[in-house]
Amino acid sequence: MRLTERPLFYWIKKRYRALQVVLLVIIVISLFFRVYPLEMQRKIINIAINLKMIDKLYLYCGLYLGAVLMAGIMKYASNTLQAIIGQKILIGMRRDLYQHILKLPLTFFHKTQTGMITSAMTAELNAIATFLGGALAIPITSVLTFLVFLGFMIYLNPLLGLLSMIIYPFEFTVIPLLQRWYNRYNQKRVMVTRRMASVVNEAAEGIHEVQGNGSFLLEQLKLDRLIYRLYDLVVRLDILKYGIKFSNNLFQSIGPFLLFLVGGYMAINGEFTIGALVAFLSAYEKVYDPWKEVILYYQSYQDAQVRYKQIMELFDHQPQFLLEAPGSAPRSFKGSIEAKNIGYRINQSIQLLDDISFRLEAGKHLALVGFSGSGKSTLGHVLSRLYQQSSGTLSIDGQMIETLSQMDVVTGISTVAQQSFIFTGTVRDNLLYSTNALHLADVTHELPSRQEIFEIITEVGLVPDLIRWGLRSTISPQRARPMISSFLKMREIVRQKMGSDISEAVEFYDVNRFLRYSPVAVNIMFGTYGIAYTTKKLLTNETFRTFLNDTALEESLIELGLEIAVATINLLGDFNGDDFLFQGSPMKPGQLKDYVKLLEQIDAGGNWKTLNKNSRDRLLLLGLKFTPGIHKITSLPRSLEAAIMEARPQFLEQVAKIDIESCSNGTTGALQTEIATVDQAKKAGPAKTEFTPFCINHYLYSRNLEDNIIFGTVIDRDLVREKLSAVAAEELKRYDLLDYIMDIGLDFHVGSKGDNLSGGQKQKLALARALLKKSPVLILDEATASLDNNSQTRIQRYISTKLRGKTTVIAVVHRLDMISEYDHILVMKEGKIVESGSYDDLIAKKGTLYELINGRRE
Amino acid sequence: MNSSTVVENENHHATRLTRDFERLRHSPLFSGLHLDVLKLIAYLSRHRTFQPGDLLIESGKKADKAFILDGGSVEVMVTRRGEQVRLQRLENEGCVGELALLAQFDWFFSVKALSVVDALVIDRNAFQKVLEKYPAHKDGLIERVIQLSVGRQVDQTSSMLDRMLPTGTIQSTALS
Ligand SMILES: Nc1ncnc2c1ncn2[C@@H]1O[C@H](COP(=O)(O)OP(=O)(O)OP(=O)(O)O)[C@@H](O)[C@H]1O
Ligand SMILES: [Mg+2]
Repeated sequence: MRLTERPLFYWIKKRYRALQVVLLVIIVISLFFRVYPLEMQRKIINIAINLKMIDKLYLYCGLYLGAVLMAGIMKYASNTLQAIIGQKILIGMRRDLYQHILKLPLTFFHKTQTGMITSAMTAELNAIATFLGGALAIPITSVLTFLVFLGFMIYLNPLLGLLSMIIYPFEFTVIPLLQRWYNRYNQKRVMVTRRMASVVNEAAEGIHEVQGNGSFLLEQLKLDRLIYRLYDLVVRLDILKYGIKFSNNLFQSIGPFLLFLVGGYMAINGEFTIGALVAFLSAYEKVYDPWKEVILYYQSYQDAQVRYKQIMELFDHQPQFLLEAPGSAPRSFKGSIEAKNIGYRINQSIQLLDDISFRLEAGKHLALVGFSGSGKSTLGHVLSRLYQQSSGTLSIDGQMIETLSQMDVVTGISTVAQQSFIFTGTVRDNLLYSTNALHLADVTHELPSRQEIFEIITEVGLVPDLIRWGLRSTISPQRARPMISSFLKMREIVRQKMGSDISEAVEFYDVNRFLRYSPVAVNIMFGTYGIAYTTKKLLTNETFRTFLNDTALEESLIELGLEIAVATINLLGDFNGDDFLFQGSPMKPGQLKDYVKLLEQIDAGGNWKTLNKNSRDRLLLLGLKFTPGIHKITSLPRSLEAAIMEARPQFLEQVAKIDIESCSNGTTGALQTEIATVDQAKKAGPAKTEFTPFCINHYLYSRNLEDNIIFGTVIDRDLVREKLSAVAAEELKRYDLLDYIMDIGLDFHVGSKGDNLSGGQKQKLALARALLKKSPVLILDEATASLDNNSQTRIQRYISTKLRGKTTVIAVVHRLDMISEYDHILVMKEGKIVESGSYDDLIAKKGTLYELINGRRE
Repeated sequence: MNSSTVVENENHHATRLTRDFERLRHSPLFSGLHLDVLKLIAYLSRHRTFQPGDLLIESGKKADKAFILDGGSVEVMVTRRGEQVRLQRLENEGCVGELALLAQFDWFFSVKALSVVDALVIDRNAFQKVLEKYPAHKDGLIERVIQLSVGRQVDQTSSMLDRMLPTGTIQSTALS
């Protein structure tokens, strides 16, 4: 049965039957514990109280309590179990549905807005889950409970029992009527919610345009209509929902009235004991519980049904092709392609492609050229079977393309789309996207080796980017450790080779110099603290605090902080919240108000000692963060600078336990021990590894590779990167670090949909992804259009030399100076081929191609 | 010292801010400006030291900052038909590149340090920020920049003419 035609109960009947039976059993057992107290009630009154038997009273009360407790526990268990079953069924439902959606033809996605799909897959399905779990157990047990209580009442008194049933027929007619009404509005609500999701989704995707055009009100208007419509619907729904509740309550309160009247009369006449009447009334109340459950179930069933139908209607399309040919591995192709009279229409009428025919031998290269909108991309989609042609035949190696399974096509053809899509994740995830997919589907057995990946990376020209990404990564100690000695050597080389070139742009770490471009805290430690250093965290370190105290630095730093706070408030107090202006102060714009309040607590004499510890720490924080080279708001007093320089060696020796001599002119011997101590210290406890000093022979785990190589604070980032990239590539190769760095670069995070990448980088990545698949047919749709001229030429050279004879290439080419490298050229216009032939022939003919190249016909 | 406005609780050491404030106050570009505005400009400016031969401004690069000189001398040159022609020599307290504060363009001349040059650098973003925060002073500041620039043109033209007229490279129209 097609997935979208399955009824809701299909999922419930087929899944987790054992669990559902357990649920049923629990509920049935709990029934007993719910009736039992009623019987006890009767006995307490009729036997224990009436006959004044104290021991019986204790017994019955005990049993009563026990039963009530058991009933509660079982209710708890059944609720939990029900939720678990519902969620389990939902997993299957969601997975199947997602697989179904992913395989739907592209035309479905052209028609359907993504917001709708998201909304259906997430919130709407969630709403069904709560119903799913108890879908079978609840109606069965509710009805059972209902009957049991009813039976108990009839057993007590047949007349009264039947009398109390009088109201139910009314309810059976009124409630469904209201519910049907409710369903109609509910359907509309689902639609409106979906439309709302699409509008919001679209605005978020096109946020560049929204902000670029200032179209905030325009977008708001689109949503407003839906917001008010939704309000309207939800209010109506609520009116109906509470209407149902109201009518139900009304009927229910008529019941006791009848009972009191008739039961009271009978009791007065002695036809009925008081105990029985009390039990009867309790039973009547208890009957209401299962009834309420039936009503609730009915409502949530209706709700789920409405949602379910609408979800399934949305996705009610057939995937066009079989995923795999049963029982056989995907075919392998040589790659010859033949198109005969291909036409492609949409909506039966609009002819996008008309009468396209060509034949391409395996390994030959075909260029598609033509005006914008002439149908080149459309043809590309038909050739890769993303669209199915409306007429004509398309075959690959003589096989009709319709007869191939999805896996055949996927392994046979790789494509680079005009708008390359990059997935959220790392560069590696994206590069291996195609190959990972095939691997998961058991089509290929091994993934491309690192060498293969780097080869392709080199061909598409991503190497410099990869190096840059690699160098800017901060890597885990485990990953860094094997390479540390190589990095430290590079550090030396860079200093020798570039030291003087970049001396203005970098402040190298030197234990004997005050670092103007590092915060005061870093100057004291001459190193960093922890893997993710923040000054705030440092403030909580006992060792550091003790050190500040012992060296009397704390007071001076609080005074510095106070000075900073005063100066910042004086100068920038009026410009609250302006990031740009706060660049020259360690205070953040958002903290201004807090510091103003803090200063108000200080008396006119400027005595900060009256402040509490928390406030003093806040001033200390400013002092520790102060970076003289960047923060212009004040200057570091010479005396304080001297004091810091005096404290530094003490800190290194006493706290970080470093020999300053070997730190400043390191030997590899010292390096070895450092690595050893890091490992030992890890086991010994965290205290020792927290401070990493800036020793020339220490790798800084908290910094990225670039910082580790430069080993100083970069003042002019652009200049340094320019100089470094020239030296880096060759030195990295020399130390066998190139592959290692590129491998790290592969783990660079490309951001949401590749937002951290440039347009060109995205395209190179998409190209590399397709090339790594190594399929016999390659379809490129302006695959190099966003690259610079050099890269375009290099990639074209790769295609026309390395791929010639091996891979059949069909490329939409926009740079006409490149098409002479293709074996065959198709010129398209308005969905038709207007010229076809080799480059030389077409030029000699002086037709449309000639016109395209030279501007106009002679 | 007259700059107690800058740091209220005047300290034992003169801060950089105070020094730069003083320097700007005496520069032709900003003299006479309201002290609050001056203070903010001083705060947003940076120091740079150039060695003899270094280029402060390089022809063809994006213009995005102005330099207030403080000691040292520089020369302004243009490259014409592959030859470098000196337009002007500035000593001590001049300023160069002030037009970059107002508009985006590419430098059409170069400025080279002849000795060790100490300069205060103000970039356009910072300057625009100041204009934004003190809109009342905007027109005055812009006018000052333009006046200074016009004065520079006049100086450069006359200095060039002075050098050329006696050598007879060009002739005055009155003679022909
Ligand atoms: N789903 C669609 N519905 C309606 N028209 C479409 C659809 N897809 C494409 N078209 C139309 O088909 C024509 C061909 O589009 P196609 O993208 O193939 O052009 P192209 O030759 O690749 O152009 P370009 O050089 O600009 O990429 C265009 O006029 C376009 O408007
Ligand atoms: Mg196209």
